[in-house]
Amino acid sequence: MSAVATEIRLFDQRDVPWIGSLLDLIVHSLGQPWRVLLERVAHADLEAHPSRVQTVLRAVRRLTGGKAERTRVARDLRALVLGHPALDRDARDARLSIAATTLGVSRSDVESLLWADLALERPVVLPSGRPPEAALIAHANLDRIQRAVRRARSVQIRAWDRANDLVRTVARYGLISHVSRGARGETILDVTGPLALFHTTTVYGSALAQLVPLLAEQPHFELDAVCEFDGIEQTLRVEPPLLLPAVRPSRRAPSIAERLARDLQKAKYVVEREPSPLEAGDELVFPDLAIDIAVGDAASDMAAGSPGAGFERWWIEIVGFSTAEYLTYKLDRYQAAGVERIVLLVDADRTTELLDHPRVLPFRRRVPLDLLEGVWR
Amino acid sequence: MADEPVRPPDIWEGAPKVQVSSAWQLPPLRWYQQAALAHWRIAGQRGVIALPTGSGKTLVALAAIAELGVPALIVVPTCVLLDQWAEALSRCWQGEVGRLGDGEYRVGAITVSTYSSAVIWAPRIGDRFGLVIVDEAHHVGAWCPGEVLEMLVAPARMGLTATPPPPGGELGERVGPVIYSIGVDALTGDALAEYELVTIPIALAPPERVHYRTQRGRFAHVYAKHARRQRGEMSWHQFVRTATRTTEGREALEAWKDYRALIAYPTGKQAALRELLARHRGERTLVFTGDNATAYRIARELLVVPITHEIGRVERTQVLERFRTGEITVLVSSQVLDEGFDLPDADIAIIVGGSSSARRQVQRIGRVLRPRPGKQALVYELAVDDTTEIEYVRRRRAGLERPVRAAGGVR
Repeated sequence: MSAVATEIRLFDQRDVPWIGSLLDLIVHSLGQPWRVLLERVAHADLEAHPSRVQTVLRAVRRLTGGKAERTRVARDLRALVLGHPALDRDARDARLSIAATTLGVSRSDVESLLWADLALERPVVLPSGRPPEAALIAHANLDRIQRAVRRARSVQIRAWDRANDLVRTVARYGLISHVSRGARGETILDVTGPLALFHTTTVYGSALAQLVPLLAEQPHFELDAVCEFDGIEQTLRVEPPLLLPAVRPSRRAPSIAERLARDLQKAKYVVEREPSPLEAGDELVFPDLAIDIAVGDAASDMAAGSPGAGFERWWIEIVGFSTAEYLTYKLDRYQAAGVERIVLLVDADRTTELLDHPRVLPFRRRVPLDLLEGVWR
Repeated sequence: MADEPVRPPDIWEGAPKVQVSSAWQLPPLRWYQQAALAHWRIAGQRGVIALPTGSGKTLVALAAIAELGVPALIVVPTCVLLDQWAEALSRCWQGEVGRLGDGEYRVGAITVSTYSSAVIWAPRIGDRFGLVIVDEAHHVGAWCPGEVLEMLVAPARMGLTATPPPPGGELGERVGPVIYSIGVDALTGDALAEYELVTIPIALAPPERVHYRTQRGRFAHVYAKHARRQRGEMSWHQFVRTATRTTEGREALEAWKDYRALIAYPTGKQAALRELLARHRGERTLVFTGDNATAYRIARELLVVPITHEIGRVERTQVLERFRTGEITVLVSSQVLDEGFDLPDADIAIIVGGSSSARRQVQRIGRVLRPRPGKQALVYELAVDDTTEIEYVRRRRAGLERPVRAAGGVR
């Protein structure tokens, strides 16, 4: 790796003029295959480095979105239209017309939708009209930061105010991290980058990239990433003011912690989701669940249907990507926080090496309740 | 094969032999398959077997696994081949086939893995197998990193290919030398169908000729200048690297791309392709192009099905099934159909364009050589006169042993 680190520059108002020219080319190429647009872009005299142009073009693709739907439509249409060779214009026109009538669309729609899922063949479209330059800048920034963190050795996020969302997202995606308090009152998240791992770097990198859109909701933060592109170390510093696309609330499947909490509640346990972080020296630990287990008389009261005093609090943290070293570190942190009753539930598919420890339980997909109950019994 | 005593070799003592050595139902081997296996045995159960596409390389490997009776790992380049190997194994062996790749991660006594999954899994399971089969072995050292084979302890190794690379290199080091090789022509009329290769000269239209000369001249001028500077010792890679640093160089590369795009599918080729498809209407035909853009262009113009890396697995499977049943008769592709695909029987291949690779040419021709009583396959090759494509065609023919008929009938 090169000793000289270079800095990754994000997009801002200085990029507006050439992005405007690029948008002109896009509008001029509407309806034509992306291949044609790219040829035009290659020959255009845009005052920007080709890699920056490519980033903005990816942002355009993001904005036009909807690949899954396009794939289904195009695949069905190809099955309907493509077949024996149409060797003359009449045969070709007839086949397209039949498909158009069958689907209730125009012939030109059939022609353009046929290849709508192929990166270079699909037609250039702007369904919501010409986007403002600022929207492209925001999406280009998102793309550039996400690409950087996917190629990062380490990422540090310092957040003021709304750090909890970030920490919980880190936990939800099972990223290897530690959290501490900074001298300026900030929460510091040190997240291991994918290039520091030996396995599952792509999956891990994608999970890490999911953090980036959340930065749009952070009023005050700093992100530093040390990355590697083509063997050259590059650093990225991100802080407001910065244009990023607004976060769209996504409908997501319940997390493993949420499903476990539901299972525990069904089994009549008293469960607290996302309890407050615990101080462990200079650092913080974020258990996913806290469970109050009835002991002694309370247990018999519970069995009789009348909860009484005498509860033991157990903490549970779900760990995604991990190594034995990381699990040991986690257990140490809980010990430093004065927590003895901790269970680390480790995703067996995402760990490189399981730690042989009575408080470390492996699971796949869903946590088996009986295994967990075995610990506190 | 079934009559021969199945015994594990001396070189592999510690493996659970019984899992693999029982319950095989293999069809009898043909003469050249037996010969290949015998050569491999004599070579100390290491080496590469080169047999043409469609001649039954898989069966040779299955016979080797049955004969050794030790756990075996088969590494293949694509998920499609992973499926095909797993299916071939389950047809003749009763055990559960392990799979590594395409979302499945299960290790068995006989396991099929994609190259990329083998990269990840080799450190963990590299000590479990006594035999490793490398399919499409000419990719060792590139697509299939040599390190994968270094991490496997298997003493017995067999490489399979239709187009062996030159001696030495990583393949020789990790798997062994080519210990048995037989060409297409030695098997035509026996294990492979008879075929005829017809080259069709294509003339550029006058405006196309002018455009070609202009762009070719623009490129050749800059290329010659660079070559003189390097005193003739310049690879294409070096040229591209230096050319992209200057405006003149970048323009030369643009001119190169431009005239290559022109000869990929000029009007003459368009007319010839239509005429050939009309002549062989209803016959299963594969159209090979030099790049995806041309494949899509043909698909767009003639409303035929393209098969490229962008066409998903589900759709590909459906298309191949439609091709198998005769519902569609023409497929167009640039590279995907070249190798590693169990294509249904086809009679006609039309090579619209391609690289100068003799290896690829052999693979493409192999696609129409699946034998059938009375079958005479036809391979048409379209070559634009007085262009660089003629040199490409000449180099491609170097991999073939038979004379080529030039036809002027289609223009």
